[in-house]
Amino acid sequence: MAFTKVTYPARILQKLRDWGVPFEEVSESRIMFLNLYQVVEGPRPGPIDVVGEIKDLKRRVGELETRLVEKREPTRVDYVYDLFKEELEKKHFGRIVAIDTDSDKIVGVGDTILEAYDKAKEKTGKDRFDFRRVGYRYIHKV
Amino acid sequence: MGRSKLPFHTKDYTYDKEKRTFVPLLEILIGSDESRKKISAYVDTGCTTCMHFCRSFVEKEGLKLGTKMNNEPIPFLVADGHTINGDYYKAFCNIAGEEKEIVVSVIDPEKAFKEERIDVVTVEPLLGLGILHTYDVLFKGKEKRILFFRPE
Repeated sequence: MAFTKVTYPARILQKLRDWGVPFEEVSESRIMFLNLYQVVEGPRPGPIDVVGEIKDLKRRVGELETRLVEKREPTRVDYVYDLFKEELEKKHFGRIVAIDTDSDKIVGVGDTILEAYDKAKEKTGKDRFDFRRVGYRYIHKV
Repeated sequence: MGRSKLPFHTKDYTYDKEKRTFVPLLEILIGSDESRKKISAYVDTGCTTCMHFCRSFVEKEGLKLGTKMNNEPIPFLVADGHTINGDYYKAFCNIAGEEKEIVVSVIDPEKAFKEERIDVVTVEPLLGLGILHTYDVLFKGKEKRILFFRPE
């Protein structure tokens, strides 16, 4: 962007002087300085890419919506876990429990998921269970 | 835990050209009873399962991971603090001829994060903390070497 001298009509300038309104008359040398300064400093940032900004915001809102929608509702497993929560947190905090949702019971407790699974399998004869880590909202970190 | 004097397997860290660093990378056989496949996996103790995969990797490599252990999806905590649902599988892991039964976790970060950058979760397979509990493992950081012992 090149700076150009903005000139007001002589009539307006005279009025400003008469009324005592402070204004600065831009000289040719000042315009030259501003243009040289711009060359040294580089171009000023252009206007904001509104379309790009809107697109980015839409993408972000979409991601947040996805996460909120995907937040799961309490399931049968959560219900069974809640039934025994108090007792489990007293006795087995941090351990893993295997839950059988058909009988609404805790069927295995272990330090590892394999230990809880093997105990549950031995007790019920089934081969699939649901798991929770006592006192945590997740079982493992990855 | 006691440790026999000689390791049954030793592996020097591998130089990662992209990251310009040495990483503990191991070649293992993984799979169900019927089929095993050789893959490379990073040893990452920040991952608390025995072994961790992304669904896309399992599908790309055609891995057969054995018995699924859960009915409902299992919540996993990923590095950026979000919880993602995944599954557990009971599989066999063979490191230098030493075979153990392990639990493998599989999540689908691409589905969970959609358009977001997915570098919050490593897509490569990870050998996690559970492996250290299953095998007797020693990291020699100074020598950039990982050693596996048979627990006594």
